[in-house]
Amino acid sequence: MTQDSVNTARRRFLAQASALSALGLMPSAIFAATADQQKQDIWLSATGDSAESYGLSWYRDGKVQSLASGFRGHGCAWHPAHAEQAVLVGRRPGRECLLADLNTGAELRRWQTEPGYHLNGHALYSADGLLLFVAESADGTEAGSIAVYDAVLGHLLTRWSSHGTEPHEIRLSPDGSQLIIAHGGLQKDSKGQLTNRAQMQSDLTLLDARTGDLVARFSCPVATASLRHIDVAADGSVAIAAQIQDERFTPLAYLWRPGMESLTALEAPAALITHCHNYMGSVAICNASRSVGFTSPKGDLALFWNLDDGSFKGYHRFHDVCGLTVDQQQQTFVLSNSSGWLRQIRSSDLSPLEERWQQFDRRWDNHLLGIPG
Amino acid sequence: MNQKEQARERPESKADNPATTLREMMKPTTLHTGLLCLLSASLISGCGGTRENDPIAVTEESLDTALTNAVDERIIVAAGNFASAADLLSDDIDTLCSNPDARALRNAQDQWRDTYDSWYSLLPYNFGPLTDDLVFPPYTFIDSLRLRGTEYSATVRSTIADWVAGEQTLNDDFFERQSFQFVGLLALEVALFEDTDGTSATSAELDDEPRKCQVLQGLASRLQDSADHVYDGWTDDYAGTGTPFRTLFLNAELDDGTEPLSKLLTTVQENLDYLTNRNVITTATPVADQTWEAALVLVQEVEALLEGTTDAIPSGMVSFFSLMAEAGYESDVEAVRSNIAMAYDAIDDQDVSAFNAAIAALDGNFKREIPDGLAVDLGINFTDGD
Repeated sequence: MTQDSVNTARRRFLAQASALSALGLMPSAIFAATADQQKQDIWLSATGDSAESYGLSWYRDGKVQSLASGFRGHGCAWHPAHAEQAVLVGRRPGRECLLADLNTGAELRRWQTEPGYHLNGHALYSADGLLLFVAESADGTEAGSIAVYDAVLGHLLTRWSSHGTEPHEIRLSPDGSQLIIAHGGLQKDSKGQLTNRAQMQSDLTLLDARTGDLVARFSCPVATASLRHIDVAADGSVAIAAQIQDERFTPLAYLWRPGMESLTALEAPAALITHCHNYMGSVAICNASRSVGFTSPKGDLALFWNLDDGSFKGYHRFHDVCGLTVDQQQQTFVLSNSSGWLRQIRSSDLSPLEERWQQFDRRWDNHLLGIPG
Repeated sequence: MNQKEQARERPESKADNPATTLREMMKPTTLHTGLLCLLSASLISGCGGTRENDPIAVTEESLDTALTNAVDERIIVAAGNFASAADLLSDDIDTLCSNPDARALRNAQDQWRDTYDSWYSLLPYNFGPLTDDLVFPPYTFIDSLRLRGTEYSATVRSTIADWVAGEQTLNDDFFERQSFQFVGLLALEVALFEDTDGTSATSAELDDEPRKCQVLQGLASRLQDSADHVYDGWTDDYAGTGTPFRTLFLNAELDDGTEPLSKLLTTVQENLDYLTNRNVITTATPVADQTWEAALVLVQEVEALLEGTTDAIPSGMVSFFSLMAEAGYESDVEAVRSNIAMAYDAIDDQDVSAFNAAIAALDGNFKREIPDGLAVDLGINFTDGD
């Protein structure tokens, strides 16, 4: 079952959506959002630091709501058609995902990976919202796959090879035709210890989003760099955050543009890169300011570059910062940390907007996803 | 007499055990007591406060007290000692240059060793004034190795030879403009312990080459400026704010929002990590061979930080270990003490592998047992990213 199943799911969803719309039951957020509502932001993230507190939390209009998950989440995926729906993906090597209704706070569905596979923390809806692509690895070997789910019914349609080891964050190309995958390349034992440092194969891989066919693959010039997190600009440029698996001094931020044969390192003053302790946790692109930001919780630091010429823009110091997104107006970078803070800084000049800094009784975990409210 | 002035008083014998010298230099002063009396009631907002089920309550106040004690009795004293040592080094180099002879050269070299050791007492506290500029961190202008473990002696050696042979004016402005790897302790080590041809230093070269003395004096002055910057930053004016970093730190007003005890523990941990990951014992001080002595000072400093300077502080004051023990983490305290003892044994035996193993274990203690015992949150992203 491969492409036929996918097509069947698309047809079923469209038929369902059409029927619901005719009955007036389609979620109001799709068809009735006002301009004011569209200006609002929702920022969602995995939260918590214990089985009791793990969950999905989302900020909207000055308040934070949460839904308990019972498992530690990592990244989130937002449904482009069902604006109120988002998935919390279990952190590696978790097996559980949760679908939440952000309007009601209800849990709509939860499911587990197929036996023999585990999650790597990230998933993504197709551009039309019919499919959910989930980055998974085979237990033991970390051979990567993309589990393709029917986004409506929730069942697994097919599984594509991701053509790499340990697929981590996945994104869509701007036209929705390609899946862009950061393969971390790591193999770890049951204690979480890295077992393949000398043989790591981390890369940026492009797959056809309709068939799963391999389109291209780009290796990182640094053998021990694990490419784990990415963001895609409107022009197709991909910003890539790396985590280095040894003590060498090397760039942690990379850029790839359509047509390029290799990744380009984003350079910064050596002391700043050193301060990041070989670890970038999140990356986000602001299309309006043509800026890209990377966060390093190990350095309590976010670094920013100009997306066009690769020049270094500056930094922002923030304790345990990891979550990073851009507001819907493309005016600010939004940063989160585990002390519950959400900070905004202007994307144009990185100046702090302290009047918009807020602290909540939540422990924002690794990533922050900004979606229209 | 302030802490720095007190520390500036030259020890009677430079051959003394450096740790003993340091302990002597760290006796409490009236100023210390006065500072301790200024404790604010609640300085650490995020450190947990009273915890249920603890045999004896560890309060925010007691954590505040332990932290203030650490700042006043360890960190600021270490900064003062380093500034004083750099000051004495500058004096000794002036003396050497005014009348070069073998004795004066030996004195200056010995003072460089003292200065290097006192740097290793401050190195665990590599934050605040030492990192007030993230692009050009002051610590790199003291210890170039610390940035990313690159040992620059070859390029330093050739650069110094060029300076000596050159015609540029070797004044303060010249040394202020130099890149970090060409100034600091390594540059002084190369200049003091070697002649410009790379052979063992002689006082004769200083007679023959007045520019060599200008290099030495310029480097010493630059180091002194760096050391004064750190001490003044802690006690007087941090990064042009007009406020001592001590105040900002203890009031939990760090610009990245880190809680002070988290900052202290993570910084100490990072420097332990640095010792092993960069194999500092076999890499640093390529000419003077001072790493084991410096390692001893560093381990003693870490031990004193945790134990509290019980022979020097007023009764009733608390240490991090005493709080951990009171909170029921006695076995963890003993585990940390055991790792410190292992480090001492490795230093005694000059066993690099054993030293790195002990430091790695101690590094782990600063990530787990010590924060847990003090109810300090280091941050879930910091400790457990993916």
